[in-house]
Amino acid sequence: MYFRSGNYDVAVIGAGHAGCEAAIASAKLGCSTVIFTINLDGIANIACNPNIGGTAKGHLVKEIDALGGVMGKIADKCCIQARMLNRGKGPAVHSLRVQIDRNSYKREMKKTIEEQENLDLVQSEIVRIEKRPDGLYDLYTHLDAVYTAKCVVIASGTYLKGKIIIGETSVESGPDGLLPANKLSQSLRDMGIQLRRFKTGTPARVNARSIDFSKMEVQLGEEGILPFSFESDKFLENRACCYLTYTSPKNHEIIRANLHRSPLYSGKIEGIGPRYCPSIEDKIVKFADKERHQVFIEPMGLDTYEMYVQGMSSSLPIDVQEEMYKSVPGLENVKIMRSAYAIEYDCVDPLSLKPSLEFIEHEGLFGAGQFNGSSGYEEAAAQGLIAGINAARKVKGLPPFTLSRDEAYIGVLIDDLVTKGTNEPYRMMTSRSEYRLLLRQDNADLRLTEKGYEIGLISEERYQRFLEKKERIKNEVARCEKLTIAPSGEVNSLLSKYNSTEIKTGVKLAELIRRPELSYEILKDIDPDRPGLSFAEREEVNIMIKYDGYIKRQEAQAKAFKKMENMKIPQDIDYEKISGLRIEARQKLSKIRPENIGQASRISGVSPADITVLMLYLQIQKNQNRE
Amino acid sequence: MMDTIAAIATPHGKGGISVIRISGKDAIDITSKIFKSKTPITEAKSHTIHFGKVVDFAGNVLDECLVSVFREPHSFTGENVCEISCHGGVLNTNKILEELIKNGARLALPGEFTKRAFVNGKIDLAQAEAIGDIIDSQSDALLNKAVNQLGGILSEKINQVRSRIINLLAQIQVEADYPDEDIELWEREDFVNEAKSIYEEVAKLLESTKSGRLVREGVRCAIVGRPNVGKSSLLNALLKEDRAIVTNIPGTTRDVVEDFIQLEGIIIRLADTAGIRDASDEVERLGVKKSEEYIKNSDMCLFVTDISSPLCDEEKEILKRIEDKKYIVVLNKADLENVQKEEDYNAPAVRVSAKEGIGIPELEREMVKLLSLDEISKDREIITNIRHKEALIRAKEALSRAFGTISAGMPADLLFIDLTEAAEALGEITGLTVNEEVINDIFSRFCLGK
Repeated sequence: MYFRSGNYDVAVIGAGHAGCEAAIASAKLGCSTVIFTINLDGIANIACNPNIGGTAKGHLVKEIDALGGVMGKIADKCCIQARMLNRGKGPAVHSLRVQIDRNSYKREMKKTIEEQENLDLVQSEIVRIEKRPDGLYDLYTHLDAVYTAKCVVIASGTYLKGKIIIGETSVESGPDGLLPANKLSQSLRDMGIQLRRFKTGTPARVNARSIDFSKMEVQLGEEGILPFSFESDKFLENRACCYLTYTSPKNHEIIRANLHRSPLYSGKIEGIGPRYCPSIEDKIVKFADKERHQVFIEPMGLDTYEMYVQGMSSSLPIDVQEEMYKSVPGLENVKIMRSAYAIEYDCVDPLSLKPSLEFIEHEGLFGAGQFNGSSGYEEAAAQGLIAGINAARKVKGLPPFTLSRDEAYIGVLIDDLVTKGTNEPYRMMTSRSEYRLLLRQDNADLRLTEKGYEIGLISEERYQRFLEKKERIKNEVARCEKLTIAPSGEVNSLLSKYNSTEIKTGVKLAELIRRPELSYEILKDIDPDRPGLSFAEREEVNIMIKYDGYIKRQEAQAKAFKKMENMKIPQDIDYEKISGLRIEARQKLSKIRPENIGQASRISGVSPADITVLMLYLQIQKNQNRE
Repeated sequence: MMDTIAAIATPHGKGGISVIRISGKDAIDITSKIFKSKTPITEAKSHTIHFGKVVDFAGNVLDECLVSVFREPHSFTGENVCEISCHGGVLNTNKILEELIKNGARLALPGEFTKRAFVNGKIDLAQAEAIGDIIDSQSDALLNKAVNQLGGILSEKINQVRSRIINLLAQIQVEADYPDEDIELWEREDFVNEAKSIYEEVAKLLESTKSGRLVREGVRCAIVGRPNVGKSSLLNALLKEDRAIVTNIPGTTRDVVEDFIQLEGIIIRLADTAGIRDASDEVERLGVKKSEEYIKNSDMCLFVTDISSPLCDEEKEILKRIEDKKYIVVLNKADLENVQKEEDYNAPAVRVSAKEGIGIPELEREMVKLLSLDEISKDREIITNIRHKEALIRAKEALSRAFGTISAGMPADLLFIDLTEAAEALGEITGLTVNEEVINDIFSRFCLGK
């Protein structure tokens, strides 16, 4: 007997980082939304690293915030240590990373969902999805309740047929001992959706009281770091430390001697793991000449002694783990609380998705997060937000919202997934972005707040404040470009203090800011008429002036890119009829059905010559239609 | 298949015959509507030629013609193609074309046939461009280089340099993605050295475009000397040996009359310049000014003097004007008393009797030697194409900006912007960077009917 439980505009399956963003966005946009999770205590679980952000990932969180998502604000609230990575490098690669209190993060996210209007939170496993003749979807729970929704977002993370593997042992399970979702896979296959198997892993959690921190370097947080959320000007607080130690030769020896017991090498694991997040056994095999690897010890929270051993994820048997961790300096007497493990799960080939994250073949069905073949909380949240927005827009009959590669890392992430596909859990990296000097973490709000406002996730009040900020930055940059600094004793003594060449004639303030050894901040004493700007605004003014030439060149490159993106490909094009295309290209194009020439050019297996053929084909078609 | 296009494929104007090309799905049907032959061409096999009459809709005979039929995919464009060979003459040919259009063909845009050949996989982009170069070739050397390009020698070279830049980019990416390993790139000597070596490689390729211009546009050679030393008889003697047939060459000055010879397959543009002296009237002054201009822009000069009389002041003045140029002294009238000697000059000198035709081969050998024309002609990596040259200039500029970033001590990851630009510019030469303007530019060089 089935029990009809409710009708919703949007249903979200899974309450991890993707599902939460999707559900909150959809509900905020006015759609009646339901979110399902197997366990209410597993919401927004920090199943791996107790930190949010990092290279390129920090950018994603800032973008999520600028668009009106929630991850940034909650991470700020639960921050126990903040660092700006890559600070010594160019502004494009500065990345914010915060250590978070795991339990508070889960609690805060759960509360946010509970408080959200239009949003119902239900503990249930979805075991079946059915498309009805009227186009709606029926979702069946393991307790035979049926929910009906216009749009569905699948954000099943690592739960789909989750299998945890430690050495010779394997057990059907989700992460952290939570139940897996074993039935939904078959239902998706019945709909014609092809699934594949990925794997990921996590290191052990150990008791801080068993660690000898005196053998490790202390990693303090940095002061004066702005939060993820652009709504706050308050610097993040540092309330905990991390520690750095290294693997030892003995460590490597133990691992080598036990490789045959690793499920990775014995063939027990079929899933493909992330290249950029390798297990320690992988690192030792692949970088055999490296004498040692970094190991970071990170707190799981303020109210616990549990520590995360970053850099040593593993799927070796627990007896080997015991030996292995104990051979790391400072961990000689370590007490393992949770063992390291690998987890395998079902996911989808993202090439079957549109840039809106809707399935090409299944109208109203969306995918997000690890289900789409990505890895990482931030990647998941970013997709969740976009899938949630687009599910809501679909319900309202609005065109999909997408971001392009020159607008946001989120655009790069999704375009990479749906255009290039991925053969391993996809991780965001700065190098994946061609226009990264434009996509800085500091200007995510300047790039995206307007869009967030148009979508309806940014309040009028925040938008007005944003416009004022934008105006202040613009005016200040213009003032610095115009203002001439006359040579004087005061000016030149400041310059020489910073080893900068003294000036003999008047020089524009902006020119001085552009000198590598100087900055907007350094020059404040010789520029008494400065308006009172916030820290973030001053930082923005400095970057915009200092890297002006580079930014302009990137903009020119982005413009050339845009041109290719604007060359739309008619959706009824028959690639089989274009004999100048190589066969592989014809097949790939027919499958992925790119929306424009730019997207087509990024498909692997489509060569520049194929693109030229396609471009000319479209030109000739146009000539034809003009007649 | 595409719609049907038609155009006149032979040069505009009077000629023995004109060819009208028709291509597209209905090419044969449309042609058959205006062409009456013994076997209707709709039934004709591919690669057959048919004699018949072209008639308009009223049945009036316009011309007697030959029609070649090619069936897809075995044609230049890969589509159904007919080629009507009719009697030349603007009116006649246009009339037949009009009939085709009345029957459903569309007038082809410039390069559209070649575009279709490309889209249908008949030729690739480098070949398309090389075809353009071959059509435009005025000299044997240029033709050679174009044919080499068809073979991909240049592409291979450029792609090598490009992949070295990509390699540098990859190193920058690693630095950006793994912040835990703190090494600044410019502290690494191998990185900077490799960047320098790439820069030099691009500079070298660009340097070769100078020779490339000589191949493409010919060598500008000014014949200078005071009046009555035998400049025009020298010109005639040279022309008698190696006259080149040239219709038009880019960059030809209309102001100065040029004649053309070919040495080692390279065009030499010879100009007999007016004497340099204080001109008395306006017309002469203008002529002198043009000559001076020509000398200034020339690649080499031939200084002609009368061996039987000593160097006069006017000649010394002329020599002074060309002292920064590459030049050869032509000691003319060698059949007369030899007052001057080769040793009197700091430049190569040759005894010649233009009137008797003595010493001309020796002079030509000196000319070849002076600009290493033989080497240029043989060099397979010389860039002759202007588009390629422009791309190389952009690549070089981008690379030097990258050095600017390093020497200013700016963060190394900013290098990716300029290095990317350099790689993309090089990719444009070989087609690895797809750029609509480039493609349009390549095809726009084809005229109507190509």
